[in-house]
Amino acid sequence: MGRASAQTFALSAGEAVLGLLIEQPGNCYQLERRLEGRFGSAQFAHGTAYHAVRRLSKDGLIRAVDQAGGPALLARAEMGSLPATAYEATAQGIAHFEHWLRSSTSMPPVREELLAKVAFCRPADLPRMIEIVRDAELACTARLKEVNERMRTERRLGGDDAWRRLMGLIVTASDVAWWDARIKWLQQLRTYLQREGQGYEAARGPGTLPPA
Amino acid sequence: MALLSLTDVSLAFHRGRRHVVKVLANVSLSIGAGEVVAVLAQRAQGKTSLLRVAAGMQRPDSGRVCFEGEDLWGFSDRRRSRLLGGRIGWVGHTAPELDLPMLAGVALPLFAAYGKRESYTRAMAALERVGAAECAEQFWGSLADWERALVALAQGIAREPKLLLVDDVTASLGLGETDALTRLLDALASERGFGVLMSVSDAGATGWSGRVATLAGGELLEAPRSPAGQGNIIDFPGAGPRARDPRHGISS
Repeated sequence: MGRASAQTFALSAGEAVLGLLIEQPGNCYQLERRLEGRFGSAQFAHGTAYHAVRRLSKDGLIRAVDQAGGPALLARAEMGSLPATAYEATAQGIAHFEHWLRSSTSMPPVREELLAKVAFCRPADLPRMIEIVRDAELACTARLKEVNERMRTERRLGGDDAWRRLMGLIVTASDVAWWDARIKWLQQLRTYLQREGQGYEAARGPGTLPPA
Repeated sequence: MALLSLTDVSLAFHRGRRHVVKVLANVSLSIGAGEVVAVLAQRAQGKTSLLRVAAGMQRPDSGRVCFEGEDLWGFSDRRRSRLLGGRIGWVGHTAPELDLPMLAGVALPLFAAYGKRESYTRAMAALERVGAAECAEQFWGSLADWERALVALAQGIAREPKLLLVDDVTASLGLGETDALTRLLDALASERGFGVLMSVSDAGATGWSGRVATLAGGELLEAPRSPAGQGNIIDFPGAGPRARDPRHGISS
């Protein structure tokens, strides 16, 4: 966690879980739900919070509250009535999180699969390539709807922490801006491909796009 | 029955002898009462043309445009023109032609239908409902972009339309204002049961729309509608959760 690698631009589940535990101690089930609510677009896999908790505990960044003798914070799993261990950040965990929060983020590398496909696209592939871009555009629109839906649910439920609500709105707006840019890029890419395909045919005569 | 339905609508503009600008290509879309549909498109991609076609202001080259089940182009010009501004409301961002105080500006188009007194009452009620009562005595030139958008919305709802067409009114608004205006539109659509077709140039303005479509190269693409109560999650066949997100790019 936090080590330099090609993936350091990506949000680590570890830091996200640690941050959530600093805000409020909780058990794995609660963390899983809070992770989805706050960072839904990151699409963390089910069980991410459990793995992160195991790793953070091993690194001494969090500890089980019941082991530290805090019975008031012993949470119960919301599904079923089995007691579930609640966790909180240790002093070392808080220091680690503060360091992470204040360090600069790195630039993500542009490793776009679609661009690579376009780079290797042959004239015969053009119609399929346009379909692929169209599918991607639809998928992005669906994701945008999903972000909007989550934002509406959060806003309707509301909350009493005005600062957290404001930060939530800004995160959602940034998320939406990302999808906005992506949709526009795909629209442009599709328009280029369609126009160039027509130009290719116009220059060489109709039906000159070789069959795939 | 859909409030508005466009079936295989195509529209192209001819520029000179050889050049043809394809604006809408076999566009199909239907909107029900209380639904808010946002169409996201960049500049010059046919957003306004789509709304003009939906309003019956622009005849498509082919396809059908039906309002409450009736083909708009089967109506007489007079009936179609009465529909716009009556059961179909238009919210734009252009300055009014007459320089009047906003209350008079909103009331004036209502005179023929309701008479002077009733028109002023309706205009004031619309301004109050959108939270722009304080703009009633102001002139367009003295209003901020946000106030102009509210007044335009008041104008659109004053005749209690069944369908409201909103042409990119959020283009000049900030984050909070866009959010507030689109939330207001959503609330009005639920409260009054009218359908909304809204063109936007920024995804930030789609936040309160139940449906989102995109328009580019004449093609209208709409994300699949979610089954009721199951959220909007869409699955991409054959991909795990990380691979589905284009932000993760090529796997290393």
